[in-house]
Amino acid sequence: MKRIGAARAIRRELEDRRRRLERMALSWCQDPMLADDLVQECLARAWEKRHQLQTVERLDAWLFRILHNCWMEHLRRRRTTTELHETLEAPDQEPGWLLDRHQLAERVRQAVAALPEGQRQVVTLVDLEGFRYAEVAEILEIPPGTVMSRLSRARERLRAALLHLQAPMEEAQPRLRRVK
Amino acid sequence: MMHEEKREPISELHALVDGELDDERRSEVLAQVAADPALARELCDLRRVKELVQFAWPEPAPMERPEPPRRRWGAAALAAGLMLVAFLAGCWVAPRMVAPEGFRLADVNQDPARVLLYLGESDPRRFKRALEKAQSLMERYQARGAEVYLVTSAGGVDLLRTATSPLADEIRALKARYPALHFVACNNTLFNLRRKGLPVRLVQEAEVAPSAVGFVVEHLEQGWTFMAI
Repeated sequence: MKRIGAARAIRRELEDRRRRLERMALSWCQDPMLADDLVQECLARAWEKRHQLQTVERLDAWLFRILHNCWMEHLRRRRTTTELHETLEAPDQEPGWLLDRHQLAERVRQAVAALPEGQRQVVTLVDLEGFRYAEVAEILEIPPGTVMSRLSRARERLRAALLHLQAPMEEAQPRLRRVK
Repeated sequence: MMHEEKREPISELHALVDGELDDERRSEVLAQVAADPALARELCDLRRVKELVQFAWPEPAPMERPEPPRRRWGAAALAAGLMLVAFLAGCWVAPRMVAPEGFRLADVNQDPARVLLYLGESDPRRFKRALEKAQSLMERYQARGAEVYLVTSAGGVDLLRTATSPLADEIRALKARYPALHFVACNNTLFNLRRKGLPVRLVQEAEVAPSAVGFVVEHLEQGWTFMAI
């Protein structure tokens, strides 16, 4: 186990993770400016609390947990002051056509944005950062069973929202095998 | 009751897709999947959903990036291969999917254990070569959790159509032996065949992707290795 010693070393470790944190924050809040602020806040807090961290191996989960806390605090503040951001209108598009990659990415981001907060966080932590279920449970401070159920509900919704988009699938389910 | 029975394998599928299973459990689940087309479809969907999420927020570039020149050459070759895929595939493709902006193969770490074999021609010799290649890859990398997709479109789909496949038995045997080997047909090709009134029934082992090229591009972005047959 590598012990984090020098201040310079931890500063570099934190800085190395900035873009990953930004991506995660963006996937949660959909707003680049806000994502920036959240990451700034997160890194500042991490720096203050660096003595809490025992080993580099724990750094990722620890850091994303701080990010999660920043986000939760923001949501609590926002609830009392401003309204929810409106979700963007889906671009006018014939369903069943192959979207170009930018449109497809945008559709996916909208579908993820439309998930309930808890589901969105679980699915992004698992898919984007590759955290283990146990780590996600720790980061979000929820039981492992909840990670699993949120993940499966999230993917169910995403599937319904997304998997019809790419091409006109041959026939309805259960598909080709039945087609003569 | 039925829900109870159904739920268990599904959550195992999530765990499989997310790499949460140990080797033993993984092979058990893959065997279940191989025996149950409904589960196989489910697994395919879950993978696609996961890949779409990853596609929507690409991996951030590392802070400092030394660029070995060797890689770039490989990237150029792969990009050329992709153009060829698009050309052969006969699938309708948005031009940007072929040479996507901001997508640099040089940044992708190729993973030799995750391979896309691409087959775009109806040619019995190529069919044979494709299966041999798939088998040798599975043998070589099985211990590392290999996954191989044999992706077919245009004439290549003939390998998987019951009306035209000369190797249906071989495909069945391979799939039974290597659950992590997948046979994929391009839905756009099937759609076109059907419009021409040709039979599009596929062998049991086949899965269908909306578009072969889209499938290939997305996997390449995630570090899969591409080989044209």
